[in-house]
Amino acid sequence: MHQAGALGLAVDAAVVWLLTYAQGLFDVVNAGVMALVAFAETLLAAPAPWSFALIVAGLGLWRVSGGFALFALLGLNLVLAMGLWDPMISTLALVLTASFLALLIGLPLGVLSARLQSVWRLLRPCLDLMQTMPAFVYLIPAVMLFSTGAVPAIIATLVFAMPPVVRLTQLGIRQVPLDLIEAGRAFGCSELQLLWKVQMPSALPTVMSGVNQTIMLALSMVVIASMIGGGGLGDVVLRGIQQLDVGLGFEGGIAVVILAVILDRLSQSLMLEGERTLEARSRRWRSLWRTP
Amino acid sequence: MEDTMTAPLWRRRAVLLSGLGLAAASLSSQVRLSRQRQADATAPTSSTQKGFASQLDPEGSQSGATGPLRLGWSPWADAEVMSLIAQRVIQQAYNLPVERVMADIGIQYASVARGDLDLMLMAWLPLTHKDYWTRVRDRVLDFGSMYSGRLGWVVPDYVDASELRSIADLRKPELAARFDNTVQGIDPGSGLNQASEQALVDYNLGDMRLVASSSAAMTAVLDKAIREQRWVVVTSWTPHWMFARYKLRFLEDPQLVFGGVEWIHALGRKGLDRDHPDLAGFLSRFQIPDRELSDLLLMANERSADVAVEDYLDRHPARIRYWTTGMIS
Repeated sequence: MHQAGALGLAVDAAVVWLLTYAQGLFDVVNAGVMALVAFAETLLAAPAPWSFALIVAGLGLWRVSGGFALFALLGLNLVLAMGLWDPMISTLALVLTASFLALLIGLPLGVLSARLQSVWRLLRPCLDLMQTMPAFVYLIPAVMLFSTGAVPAIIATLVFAMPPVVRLTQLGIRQVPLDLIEAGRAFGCSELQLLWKVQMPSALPTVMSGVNQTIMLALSMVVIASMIGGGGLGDVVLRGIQQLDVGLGFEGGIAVVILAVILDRLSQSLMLEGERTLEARSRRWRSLWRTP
Repeated sequence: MEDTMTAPLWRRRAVLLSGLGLAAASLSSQVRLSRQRQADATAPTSSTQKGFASQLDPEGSQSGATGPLRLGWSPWADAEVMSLIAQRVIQQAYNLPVERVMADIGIQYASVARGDLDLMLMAWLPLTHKDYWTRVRDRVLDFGSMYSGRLGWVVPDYVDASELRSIADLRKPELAARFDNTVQGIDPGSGLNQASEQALVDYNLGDMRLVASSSAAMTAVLDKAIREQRWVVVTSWTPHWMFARYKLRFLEDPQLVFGGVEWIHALGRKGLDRDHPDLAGFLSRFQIPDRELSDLLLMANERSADVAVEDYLDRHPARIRYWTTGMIS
């Protein structure tokens, strides 16, 4: 049996040290994240499933397309019919909380590392570590520091899902053409104005694809996090796998896919201009019935 | 001229109409399903998973004296059934809310030792979980065993018993070759996998190799081999649903590498007996005869764990009364 070596023992010792001396900090974080996810879940579980689906479809109709609205209605109906509504809402609450926290930390880090080369030099190896470390490895320290349940699942998800938004925010801001910045300077922008009025708008598409990536990574990690009591759809999938119940695993997987497609399309569209406005779409539908 | 203009228009109208129809049908079905779900939720015996909102403990989560009792379980058939029984009995007899938390087995040991989980029902002692047990034994309460189990190497029953009866028989190269010189293991680091490595050494099976995977992969390999009627050796244990689904047998283990009979214990966090004395009584009396458990697992495999547990509790009122009160009728 392979045992942990010197490096592993040092990591062990570090975790024990944290447990002894920083428990108060973890308790605060624990309570905060718990309150956040409980709030998110209460909010998401408040409307009846049909009204929830109607809201999602309405958002889809507004921002994406009629076809997507129809998909959302049918997909959510399927989830409800499979009896996986409550796990799906739990998973959604986890994903949204983890993504929210990841963006809260990641966006400022991205801006900072675009503006200060030294921060970027320091941050880059950390991001490499976060992205390439196998996802399962996060689960154990998360459990040791935050016990089982939703909070360690969110913390592990947060670590796993944050790098894309940092990287793409940095990239987006660095790619803003120099002449734009020169123009801004020439008009007497302060540094903050330069960031908000020139760099951010120009970098927005890249930043938004980072946001989208973070949400999708969070969803994939949340399923893995059911191994530490994260709950939700991951439980269904894990049970299907462990008990060789192909049907159950597939149902859980399909529910994850439906959730993923909805989250992906909505998060992509919400920040960008829709390809065609709602008025244009409805005009086109009306024109179908107009006699020439 | 007219046709080429109207045909796509008609088609587009048809698509729009059918789309609207589909949406309406979907929405009405959702309304119907929502109503049904609300009706289910108000019924008293709904034991579906609860959300995190219920995990939020108003008094502070470390004390354990308040809030629901947290019961760890792994998605194994026997663990699922036992945890459901414990949940029902504790909720009904002691009026304590019980929340089941699904987690990996090693994490359950660590959490019970830390006091984050109140209970776990899956401690395989003395051998299988020896590594975990030596690490946590001073920090947990042992409520004793609930049923017995057995570990070992398992073959499908169609593998000729006159040729292959014991693990020692695998020393013959021609017999080992019929299994591709392979034993299908489960999770690396699990007690069973480590014992299997020991078995390769103790029985001097130099030609065989142990392929570590996961318990899910092990059952998948077995399932595939049985469909193709191939010879296969897997590492497994009872109670397990695969013994209800397929005809299987253990290979004899004359050197007792797998330790004969194992006992499955209930472990609790330190202080649980002080906070809930009557609960400690229940856990120390909580035992199921192996035959009843295997019937229960078969039913859980064919119908669902919820149905099987409901049925079992209905049919054994005297045993439930003994568990909860200690009274023998």
